[in-house]
Amino acid sequence: MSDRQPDPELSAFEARCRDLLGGSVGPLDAVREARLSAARAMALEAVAPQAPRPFRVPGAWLPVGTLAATAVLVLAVWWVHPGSRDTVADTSPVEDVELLVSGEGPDLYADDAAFYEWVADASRDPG
Amino acid sequence: MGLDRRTELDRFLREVERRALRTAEIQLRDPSDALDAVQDSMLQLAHRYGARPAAEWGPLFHRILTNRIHDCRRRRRTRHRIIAWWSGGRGEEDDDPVDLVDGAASTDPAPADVVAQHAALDALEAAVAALPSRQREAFLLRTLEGLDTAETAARMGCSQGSVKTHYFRALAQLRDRLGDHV
Repeated sequence: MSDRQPDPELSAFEARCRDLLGGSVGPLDAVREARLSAARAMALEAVAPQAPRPFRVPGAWLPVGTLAATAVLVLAVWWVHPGSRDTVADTSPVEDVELLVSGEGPDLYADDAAFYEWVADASRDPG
Repeated sequence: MGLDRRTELDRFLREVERRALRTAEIQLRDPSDALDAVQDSMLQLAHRYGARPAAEWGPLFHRILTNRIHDCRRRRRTRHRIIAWWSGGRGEEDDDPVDLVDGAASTDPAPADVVAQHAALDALEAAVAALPSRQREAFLLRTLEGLDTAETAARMGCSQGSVKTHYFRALAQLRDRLGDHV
């Protein structure tokens, strides 16, 4: 009952409404009964089958997982082909500095001077 | 698990379907539309919320059915306005289709053997259908579904104070309208 109706007349009216409406929820005729049964059957068919999912990845973890997998893959490739690491000069920066600071002329041409002279002559005289 | 779920849902639907149909009939004043609304609500509940806990089905089903009923009334109102405009602009804002149905129902000559209770019920249903939607909802939940104020507030998604206000206004309006007819 509503707390706001001290009016007994209104309470009596409410009781009559309840009786009328409550009494109207009774057995249905055959047509409506059949329609409701059909509707219920359709609804039960529409229940999504709950197949057990073996593994479910939460959406928020997907980017993190992808990043981690990529990192692992890169590490694995880098580790399997160690030769690629040698493409970088083995000389340490300290050796480079010593070479520059020593003041000695780098004898790059000393070993192959004859070769470089021949190349220069050949380019001058192509015939 | 799936079978138990369906059995549970079947039991729930059997339990609520008649009151749901009455609720829809009272608000739509059309048996066919009411059956459609209940059927659509059942389907939507099963399809979208069948996996939810059974305790949630009651409020969810009520919300779905209420939305279906509102949609149907809105469609009718639009259709009625278009028809009225097409036929010469007779229908204006105050032409509520429920009023037309109400009028049609009240002018029907009652068969001699119809008991007074049926006439009173018919008048009550017509008057309830003409109530504002929130008042109508509160009134039907309290009187037809038999819910208390707290349960009605939970179903309607509002405070208990609002429910009391809607319900009181609905009762007062119905009494003013129906008088001793009920």
